[in-house]
This record gives sequence, C-alpha cells and structure tokens, in this order.
Amino acid sequence: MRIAEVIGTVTLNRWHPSLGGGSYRLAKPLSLNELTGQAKPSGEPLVVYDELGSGIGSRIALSESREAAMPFYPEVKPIDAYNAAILDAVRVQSPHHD
Amino acid sequence: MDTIMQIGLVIGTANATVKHPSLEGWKMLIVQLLAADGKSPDGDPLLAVDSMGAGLGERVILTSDGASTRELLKSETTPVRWTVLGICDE
Amino acid sequence: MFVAKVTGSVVSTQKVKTMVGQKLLLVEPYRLDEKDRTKLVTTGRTFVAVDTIGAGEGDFVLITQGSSARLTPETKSLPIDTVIIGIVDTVHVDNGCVFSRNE
Repeated sequence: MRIAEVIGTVTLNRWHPSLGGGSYRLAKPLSLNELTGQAKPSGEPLVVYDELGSGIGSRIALSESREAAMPFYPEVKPIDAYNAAILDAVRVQSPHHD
Repeated sequence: MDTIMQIGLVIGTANATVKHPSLEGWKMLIVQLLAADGKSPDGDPLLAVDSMGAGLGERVILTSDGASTRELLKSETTPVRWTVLGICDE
Repeated sequence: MFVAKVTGSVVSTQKVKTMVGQKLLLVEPYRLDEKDRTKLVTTGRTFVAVDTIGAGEGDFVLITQGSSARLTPETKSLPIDTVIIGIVDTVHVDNGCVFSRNE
C-alpha cells in the first residue's frame, strides 16, 4: 500500500454489474517529499474504489493491483485501486535529516 | 503473482480508525525503499504491517507474499501487500 | 483505475480464438490539468481496452489495468490487461466540476 491524498470524486453513469456499493475517489499517491511537506503533491491522480467514506483532503492507505480486489474474495470485481484505511495520523521523519 | 522481498528504512508510523477489518489491531509502519546507493528514496513510501516491533530508523525486510500476509493477518480478504519479515541487524 | 476517452474502435478479423466476440476500443488516458486543476487534458498516450459495458466513441470511461482486468466473468479467461468498467458521469476536484458527461 502507498499513502495517497484524496483530491476529488468520480461518478459513473453506467458500470460493470459486479460493481456498485462503493464510490470512486480521485487520489494522488504521495512521495517522501510530498509526505514531509517539502514538495507539493504532483503527478497523475488515480481513481480509487472507496467503501470507507473518505473525503477531500483525507490521507488514505492505497491498495493497488491484485490486492485491491482481495476484500471482495471469493467474489470478483475488476478493481485495481482500493481504499484500505482512512489515516488519522501520519508521522514521518525524513531519512535525510538524521 | 510474483513475491518480492525488499529492504527499506522505517521512516514513520500511521494510525487509522476507519479501516479494512484485517488491519484491526496491527501497527502500520511507513517504510521507504532505498536505491542502490543506500540513500536516495526508490519509489513512494510504503505502508507495511509490522509484527516484529520495528522502530523508526531501523532497516527492515519486507515481503509481498500473499499467503504469509493472509496467514499473519488471519484474513483471506486483506488488501495488505507488505509485511515486515525481519529487522536487519545493521 | 483511471479516466480515459474512447477515441475509436479496433477491428481485427485474425485474432486468437479466445478474443472472438470481444469488443475492442481505442482509449486515450486523461489527467487533471496540472496548472489550473479545472479540466481534464489528454496524456497523449493511447492503448486498446476490452469493453464490457457498451461504451462508445467520445465516452469518458473508467479503466482497470493489470491482472484485475480479468476479474469479471466476461474477461476471466482472456489474455488481456485493460478493461473498461464504467462510463464516467462527472469528475469533481477540490469541490469544482472538471468533467460532466452532459456538457
């Protein structure tokens, strides 16, 4: 899992019948410098399936690829990014400042 | 799926109240994988589940082995990929 | 997942047996405009995706990539890694609308 910051929401007009129930968030994965506030979040956001109710500005645990679909096992859903946790506190000490 | 073992530096911790049930009761570490020079970050920091009691500034071995993650967390449906396999002596 | 625009379809008569009957579309991933975060812009990349929900040219769609693309009854035995799983209605960023299907 990576840490990502939620910046928006995506709604669907139509979806694969196995989906539904969750909502879709736009989120940017954070690099070390972005996490420590030394750089502004940049890079392409991705769309994350969210069952936990994250909001704009939430920092989430972003599960990707095959693991992202594991919460639905043995059902299958074509999900490659999943919100595994809404983080209350993130404490980071940059290794460059040791 | 390929299993990968990596060495990373523990740079922080994260807490969550609202989370997938398989994360209940586990400590989450923030681990930065390092490039070949042993200093520069390689990729984004990762969230890893820790059962070893690793601390800030320690180097840890991470594994992405799905079977051992499911066994450790006692969950067939966990979205977790990385768990701490060991703490490096130095 | 990510948002992409359907830019065309692909017709292939000679293809592996498992792909017979599969609808293939050309898609172009879009990203948030870095500067003013008020619109989606093309990434300039393009690739082929399997359509499971009846998307058409001009639609903005949601795409899943990697092994998760095979996690549907329609695609589970296909040699594919990119699938269209939804048609996008709206995209909001920082509480402002950056894409709406009806505009």
